[in-house]
Amino acid sequence: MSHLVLAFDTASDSVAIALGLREGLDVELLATCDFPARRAANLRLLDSVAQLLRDNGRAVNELSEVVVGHGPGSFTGVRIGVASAKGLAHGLGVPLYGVSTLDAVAWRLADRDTLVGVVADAMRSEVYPVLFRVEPGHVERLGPDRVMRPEYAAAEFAEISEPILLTGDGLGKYSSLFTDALPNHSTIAEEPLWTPSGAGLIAAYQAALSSGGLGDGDPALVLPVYTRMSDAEENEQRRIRDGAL
Amino acid sequence: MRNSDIDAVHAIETAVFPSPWSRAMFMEESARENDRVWIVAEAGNELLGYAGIMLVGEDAHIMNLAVRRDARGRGLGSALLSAVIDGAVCRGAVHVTLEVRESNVAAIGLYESAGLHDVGMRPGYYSGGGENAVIMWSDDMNAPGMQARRGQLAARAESVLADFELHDGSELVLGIESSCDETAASVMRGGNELVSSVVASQIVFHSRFGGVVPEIASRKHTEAIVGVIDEALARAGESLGLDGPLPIGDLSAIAVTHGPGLVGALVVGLAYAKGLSLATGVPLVGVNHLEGHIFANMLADPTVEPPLVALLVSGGHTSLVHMPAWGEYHTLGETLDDATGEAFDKVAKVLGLGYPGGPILSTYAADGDPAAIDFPRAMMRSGDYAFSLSGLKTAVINHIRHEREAGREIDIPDLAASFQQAVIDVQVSKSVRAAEECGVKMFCLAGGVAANAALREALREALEAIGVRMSVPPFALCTDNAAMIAAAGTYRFRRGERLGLDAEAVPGLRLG
Repeated sequence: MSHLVLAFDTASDSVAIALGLREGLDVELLATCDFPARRAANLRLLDSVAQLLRDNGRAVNELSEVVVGHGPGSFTGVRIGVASAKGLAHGLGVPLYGVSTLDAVAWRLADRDTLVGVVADAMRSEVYPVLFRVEPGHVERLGPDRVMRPEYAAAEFAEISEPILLTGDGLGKYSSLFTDALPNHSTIAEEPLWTPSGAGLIAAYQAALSSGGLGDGDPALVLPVYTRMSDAEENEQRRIRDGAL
Repeated sequence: MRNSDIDAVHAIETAVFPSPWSRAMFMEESARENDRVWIVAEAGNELLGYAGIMLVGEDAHIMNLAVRRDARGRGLGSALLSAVIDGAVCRGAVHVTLEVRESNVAAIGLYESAGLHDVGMRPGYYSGGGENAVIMWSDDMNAPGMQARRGQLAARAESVLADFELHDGSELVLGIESSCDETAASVMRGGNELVSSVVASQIVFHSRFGGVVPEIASRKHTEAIVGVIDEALARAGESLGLDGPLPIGDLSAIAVTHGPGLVGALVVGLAYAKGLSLATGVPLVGVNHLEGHIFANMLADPTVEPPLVALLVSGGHTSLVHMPAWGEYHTLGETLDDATGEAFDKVAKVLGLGYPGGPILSTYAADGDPAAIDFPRAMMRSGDYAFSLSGLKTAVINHIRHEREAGREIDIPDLAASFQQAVIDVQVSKSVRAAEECGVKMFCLAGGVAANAALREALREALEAIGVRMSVPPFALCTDNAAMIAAAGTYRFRRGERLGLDAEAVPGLRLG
């Protein structure tokens, strides 16, 4: 029995959409639709989903599961994707699963054989850095999602002797910071690969299916991964630390 | 059929019948409630057809049925017939009868499809050419065969109504609200019958910051939205006597607040609602949050109708709106800076009294002297309807600093009462002038600050003095809720307004 899967991600300035066909733990990629949409995800996401379904001769009620990139990324961007996915899955009565936006970026490089450093833009002079061990057809995450200043991430990567292939939309602002810190053992992936793709999402979903941890599919329980609190809460924490409260 | 329909009804009548009824006949019919059933079909603001039945004991005599020429051929006549017959049967009719021109083959076919048959002829019945009338009668409308036929007719009528985007007044609409710090969902039937209403307040998460933190609001909406909608559908299922939750597919529309409000908060409700609409095919309607607050008044009191002026005062808004007719709004003025509720919050925060500031300060104010401190009445004589509260807030904060520096203890009740009075004086003065200038007899107070008893009473007194009635909804309908969004959404849905999948949140959405 095959299941039609819809996956999308709006955590970055690119919208990534894919249709897949799952049989057991295998997911076959059927079609994708990836396009840049800076601050326009809410405008373009669902029309593009409807179009992709139509183009592939599928009706929305044929979907049997929905997958959403849950970040980290732009807070509002991630929420647009997650809230749209909740509405879709809830309305269809099908499971909703969240996968990491950064995994979807790493899986775009799954044909390589190298250490991959994904450095996504976290705004406010910070990045979301995660390392992945990539072998052809296999991507292994080496650490959790987190947020930090790019110079700390670069210093951490610099301590690794192995060559690192860098990717992620944080490189738009900080590529020279990273190449300066890793002068001899870093390369930068081609810019079109820096953001999640529909194919990357489906691959990340398939990997998560086999490794477990996708949750029970309840659309109420899939939430964005932010990695940091709101400014108001961070300031409060700071005041508590400083003994002002 | 209301009196306001009669012009349009009479226009169709004269256009389609060789010897039409007079306007006075329709007026007389419309006034007879006990032994008549009149139904009109409207799409948007246009009347497309009508039908009327006279009840005589157990007999229902179909007196008139007409469809505007340009709306024919799509089953509207059959839908009208189905509706009047069902209306008559509900009122105890057993048999249906009528006369029809012998030459009107189409009408005879229509009546035959409803189970009426030819029982005789009245020769020369019609004036003018003296055409013969065919007399038709139905069997017992409650006999099993006739019930089945009525069911079929009603089902077809439903699809005809959907084709015309017409509604029988009992449509179920889900409202979704996430413009500030309440995640809310509600199901309304027919735009005025509350089926369920759920509000998940985030107030505890914002209170320690002394105001709504937009990022926290957006996060909490994302966490709550599915649960809140589930709860609203489950309670709707209970109210409607279903075995489980109300299926989303049974809704006629999904109405969502698309502005004004906090953009990040609006986005969550809107993106969710669009996903739900795409998944289920249920049409999506966008509602202006402020329009929702006005509709909250109509929910609480069905006699409230335009022309009216509304004052919307809450933690996020301070607006005076003129509503001359249904669907028509003119924003007369808004705050140039802080919203009213926000000013209360900020003053309470400076005094260290907690959050939200409105109820806390108004409690203190009840024991204070409103004339103790002469705070500025900003924009009181500006000649327009704009409000400014930041000057007053600054004056209050400066007063507090000044007193503290002078080592004097602040009399909180006096300060609260004087601050509140300054707010009230301006709002009452502008409200009264707006009601006078717009020439309305109805005034609506709405928004969370409507809970302020002193403001309510001062407004009511000032408006009554000029012969204007004031309406205030109960507190649960004053604060943000989704029942008001579903009610306003039902109205927009009936007018054929829809939001596409490309709709975006409009944080500064204007009302008129």
